[in-house]
Amino acid sequence: MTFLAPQFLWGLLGLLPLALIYFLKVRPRRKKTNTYFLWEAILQEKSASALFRKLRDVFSLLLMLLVFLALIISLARPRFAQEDERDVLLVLDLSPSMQAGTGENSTSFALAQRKGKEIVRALDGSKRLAVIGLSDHLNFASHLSDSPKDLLQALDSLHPTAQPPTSTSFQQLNDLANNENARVIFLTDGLGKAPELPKSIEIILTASKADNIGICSADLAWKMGQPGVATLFFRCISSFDTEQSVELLVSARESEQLLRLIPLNLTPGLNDPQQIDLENLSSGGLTLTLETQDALSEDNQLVLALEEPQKIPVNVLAAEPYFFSRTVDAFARGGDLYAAESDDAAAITLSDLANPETNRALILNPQTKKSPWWQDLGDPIPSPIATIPPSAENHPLLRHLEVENMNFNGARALTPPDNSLVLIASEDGVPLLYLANRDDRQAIVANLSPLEADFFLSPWFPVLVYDSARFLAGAEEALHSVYPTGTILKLTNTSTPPRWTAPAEKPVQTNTPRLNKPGFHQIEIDRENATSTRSFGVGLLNANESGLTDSKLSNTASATLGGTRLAWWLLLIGILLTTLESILYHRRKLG
Amino acid sequence: MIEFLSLTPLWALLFVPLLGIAFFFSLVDRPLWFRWASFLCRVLAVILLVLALCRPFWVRKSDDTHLVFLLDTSESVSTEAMREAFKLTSEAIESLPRGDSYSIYQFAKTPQPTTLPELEAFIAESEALRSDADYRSASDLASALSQVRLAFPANKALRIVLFSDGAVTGDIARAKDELQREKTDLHWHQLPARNSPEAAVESIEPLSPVAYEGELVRLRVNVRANQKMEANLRILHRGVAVAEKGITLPANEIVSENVDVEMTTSGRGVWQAELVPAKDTYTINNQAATSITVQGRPRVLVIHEESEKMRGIARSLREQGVELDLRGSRGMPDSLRGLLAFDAIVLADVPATTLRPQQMQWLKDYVTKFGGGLVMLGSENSYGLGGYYRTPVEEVLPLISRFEKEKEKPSLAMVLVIDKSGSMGGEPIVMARQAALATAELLSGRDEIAVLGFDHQPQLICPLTSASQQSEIAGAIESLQASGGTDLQPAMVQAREILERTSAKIRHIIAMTDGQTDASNLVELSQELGDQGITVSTVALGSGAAGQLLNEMAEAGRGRYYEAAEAQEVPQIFTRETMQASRSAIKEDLFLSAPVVDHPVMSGFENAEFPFILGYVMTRSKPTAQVLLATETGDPLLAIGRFGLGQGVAFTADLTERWGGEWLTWEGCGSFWAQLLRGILKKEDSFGLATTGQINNEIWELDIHRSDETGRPLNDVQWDAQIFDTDGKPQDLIIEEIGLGRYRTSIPLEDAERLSIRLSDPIAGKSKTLQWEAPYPPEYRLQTTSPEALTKTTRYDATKLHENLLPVKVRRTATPLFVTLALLLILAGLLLRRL
Repeated sequence: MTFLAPQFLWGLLGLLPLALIYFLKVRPRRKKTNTYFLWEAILQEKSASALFRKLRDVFSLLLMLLVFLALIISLARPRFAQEDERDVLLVLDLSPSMQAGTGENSTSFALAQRKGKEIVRALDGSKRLAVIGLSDHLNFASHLSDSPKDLLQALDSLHPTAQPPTSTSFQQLNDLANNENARVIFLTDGLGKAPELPKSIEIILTASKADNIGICSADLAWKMGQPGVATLFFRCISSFDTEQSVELLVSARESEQLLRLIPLNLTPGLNDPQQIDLENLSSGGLTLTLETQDALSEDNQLVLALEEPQKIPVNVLAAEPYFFSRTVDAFARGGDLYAAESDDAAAITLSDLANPETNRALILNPQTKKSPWWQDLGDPIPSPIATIPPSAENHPLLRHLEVENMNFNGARALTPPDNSLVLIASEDGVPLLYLANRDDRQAIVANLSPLEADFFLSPWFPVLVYDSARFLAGAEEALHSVYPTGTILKLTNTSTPPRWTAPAEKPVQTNTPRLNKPGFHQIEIDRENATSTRSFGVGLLNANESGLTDSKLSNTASATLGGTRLAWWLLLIGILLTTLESILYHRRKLG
Repeated sequence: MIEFLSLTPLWALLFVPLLGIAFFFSLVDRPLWFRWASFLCRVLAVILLVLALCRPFWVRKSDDTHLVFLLDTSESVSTEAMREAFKLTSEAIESLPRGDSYSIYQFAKTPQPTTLPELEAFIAESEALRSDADYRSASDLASALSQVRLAFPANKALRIVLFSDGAVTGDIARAKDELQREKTDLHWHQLPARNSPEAAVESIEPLSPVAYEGELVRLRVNVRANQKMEANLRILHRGVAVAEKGITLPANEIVSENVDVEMTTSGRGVWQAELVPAKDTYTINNQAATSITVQGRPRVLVIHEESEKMRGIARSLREQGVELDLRGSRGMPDSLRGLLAFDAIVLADVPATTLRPQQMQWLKDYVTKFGGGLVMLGSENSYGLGGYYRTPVEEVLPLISRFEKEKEKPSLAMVLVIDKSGSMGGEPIVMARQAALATAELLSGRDEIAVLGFDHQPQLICPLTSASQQSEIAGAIESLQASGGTDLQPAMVQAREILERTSAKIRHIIAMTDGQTDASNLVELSQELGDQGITVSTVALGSGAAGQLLNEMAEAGRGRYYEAAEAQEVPQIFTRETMQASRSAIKEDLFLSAPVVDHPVMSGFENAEFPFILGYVMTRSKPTAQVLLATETGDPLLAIGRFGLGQGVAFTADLTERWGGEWLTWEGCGSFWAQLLRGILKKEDSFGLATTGQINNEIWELDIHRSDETGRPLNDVQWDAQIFDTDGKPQDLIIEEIGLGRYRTSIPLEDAERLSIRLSDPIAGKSKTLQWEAPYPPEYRLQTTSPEALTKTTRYDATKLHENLLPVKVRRTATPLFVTLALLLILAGLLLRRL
């Protein structure tokens, strides 16, 4: 046995004054009494137990010596010598599956937190402890400390998150385990945690397999060529041992009107994906709800966004309008573009004129010297070879174009306006396709002769018309209907960072929103005078987290966590003996 | 202020009423005030002790600070800059007031705690160019910021002082957020950028990722230097410089150099930019590569020991628009990626023993997983004669090497003398057993085989037995176990005795050892055996074998000598040796080439009169193969079969003057072979299979979108996907269906140099190959901009080391005070009882 504060053992010197006190002779009080009572008292005392009376003082002294010994040793904080003195890094799994359980106080996380508190309360000052949460990153709720109060507060500050652990967070955990001066204790449900952990990480499992059903994949999109019809894709996972019958409620997100009730027979494990066509839908979104009582409720509900299919009104201002109009008509059948009723109603103009009177235009075949969209118009360049400048790589306008297969015959040397973005250029740097801005007007200019390049008959003409119309109308960003929590969205095709609004939070301007909060999210993208709003859902959508199946992890933590709190017990013994001595004293049993 | 850890122990205050009751009914006869005073002392003492059970703490505010000095010691930081950081750290530590504490960390690839003396020693090592280059090859600041958190104590203000040049990697913004949440602030002192002369290739990009054969493609090479200097820029293709130009590099400016390169060969090729600067510190950053898919003539690789013999057929095929790349027996590409550059591969005359087992596995993967075409032509080094029996290559050919030996062929007696010493334990002995079994299988029923194992003495594993008794032979061979020393001589003597007793026409010994043996009279013995008509071939396994002795033995014994670097090569050597010794696999005469079945590759040649052949290698067709041409003896001459995504073709004659002279003069030769090759070329149809990928934290996250011709999403695709690592080792890739036509997979990059991914929708016949190659470490980039999150960090000012720190609460235990007071009160109480 060793002592953490041996200096307090000097307190044992206090036993001397204690003993000296017992050498003081207690002087009896003088009282007037008659002889009869005096002799009666004396005789009674003598006949009771002369020996015991003599030992009363000794018993009291012995008890008080024990009290002093207990308290002084308690102050010196005794501990068993074989205890591990390394610091302890207490890592709590904060992944979504830790919320699984039958009630608020019986979730895996609550159990982990309780276990953590037990460890902290058992701290005897011999070691320091840090409290760390593990989700998609490591969060130090408390750095290394021997103050149980701080550590308990840190434990209380942790809560399960909606983000599953990532390879990065597990890597950070492994890095912690490389520290020779610290033990890593990982409090986890161990469910669905795939990676193998180093043996140096001691694991305390707080749960075993739980019965759960969850939605682990989902998607929603309009069906091509069928207005008002959308296809819902979903996939469920079940950790029940037997087949379960549940109902999936499909309701409108805003009105909460029930649209469809889908009975499901779910087999144990990952079930096959299902696709269902939903008719007469309007934009907004859907809420999927699994009607089931299971261990984890977070994966039973999901919001999916369904954006209004953007029909773009297009007009044609061209010397040769035939092919333009045919293309618009073709896309109108699919519900994406339609011929504008008037020029004013058009969002986009398709033109082969030098300066169509419009704010948004796709212009082919620059032939006129004077135009706001080009200058220094020169001679045609022979058979230009199209290349993509590095600055335009991954531009949405080029997403569906096979530039190497495009023919730009008839292109002429020209200079685009300042602040133009050249998307395709010839080897000599002549812009072949560029995006130009003037004041609040925007145009995409394709520098080619449609006749010489057989452009109207090539597959790239409708592709360019369609993509240009969508881009100029601000509809180019393809967002999915729903994303899993923990996703980092990369919105790189916008000039200014969009405003992102997570559920019940203030808007944040960022190009890379981190989708941590389940629910309905919105993004506002500013474009010149217009703002387009896009929406999407965020949900758990993680088969590992919803699966709640046993992993290969097992309890490996040693039993001697935090010490044995000998000092506390000695203190308690001291109180008991002090009380006992006092009671016996007043009953004249000792002292 | 005092706080308690827990108030639960207050239940112990129940002892106080007990004291009160005892006091109320006290029998003690003491003056009242003495009694009361003593009682109160005891009650207070108990209360204090109960409060001590609640674990009391003093709480006070403190501005004590813990500082972590984090020093960037990567390659991009010069030793002068490190010395500057060291000096600033030392000064800051000296100025720390009492109560403050500090830790020092250095980081590059990983962070590590250090001390000032250790740091000084490290800088000295770096100055002497003796520091760990691998450790210094990266600056993972995000990981360092994450890990130094372990150094922080609670109850102190926390500050990290970073000394770095700003050329760092990792998600710095995220790491800073984490520190901020944990109330740790970060100050940065920017060290000067390295000023020793340095030039680097930043990137190389083709202006078009797809080009056509013969086309001039412009490669844009971005180069940079930190000083003005002259340099030579070269473009390399297949290790040969195809373009070179001198350039002048200004200081700290990216220079884009355009180099036009002619695409001479079709397929997917790698083009490398190499910068040779006048002055330089690191060479690792002087190279960058890009790949270009060149569309044009099909590119076919032909491997032939004497490749000039294939020029005739190459000429005919070139006229048909098929380009043959003729190479010698060592010309097989040494990577799967190298094989993928070709549309088909022809093994014309190359023994399996010159190919590594891994190369043969790549050939199989090339056919089955990447849809490539493989052709084997007949020769003395093909099929069984070349040692291909039971190899991965034979698995993707429509013919197998084992065949029924003709009755008129002479019988063979063979003794395998196999080293079974202790050093053969593990894989070598397993491979030796496999080799012996394969040898036995290749022999005909009239042949005989014996197996002799030897360590310090011979052990007859299998006596001379008719090869028709396969099960007995196999059972005996399986008993071959490794142990003991190595002495070949007694075993050779016993082998001679065995073969002297047989009446077989051909007698042959194959002796194999992986160690040194007593030379004694082994060469003379082999000479005697040769004179007796018993040929001796020898195999040296591994570099420790007595190669010289074995070579001399083979020469004296009129056999062949082989060197096997790996145990896996042994079976090919044994089977090749067996086929060669049996002298029965080649038939040389005038044979007809008779059509057998119709096949698309025979289209237009249904009624053609195929030329004679002058010889061929005997084989047997696989049940699933289609024999297109056969000789009049019924032996297969030309066969085709599908194996996985690709096809294999076997032609048992050759296309040289030796056996195929008639074919070469046939007018339809070029068009027939061009049509056949076109029929089996590697094809890739990826329309409707779009992929987008991004690399996050060393993980390549690949999103796949599958749609039909009209753009409708396709679900329930039964993917066949593999990932091939740097060594071409395949691993199945799990693809998760996540939405309408959407699939996802994650590929850990870890320390891979290059990866190839094959995505295939076998039912729809769509496939796509993706390749990734690790660039040189970012540490060696000559960047001048630091991550935005770092540039926004507060700059370090030594005079303000303690400014703007958040005061923190400090808790100190008050238990000793409570207990001491209780003890004093107890003493006082006792004193009052006795006064």
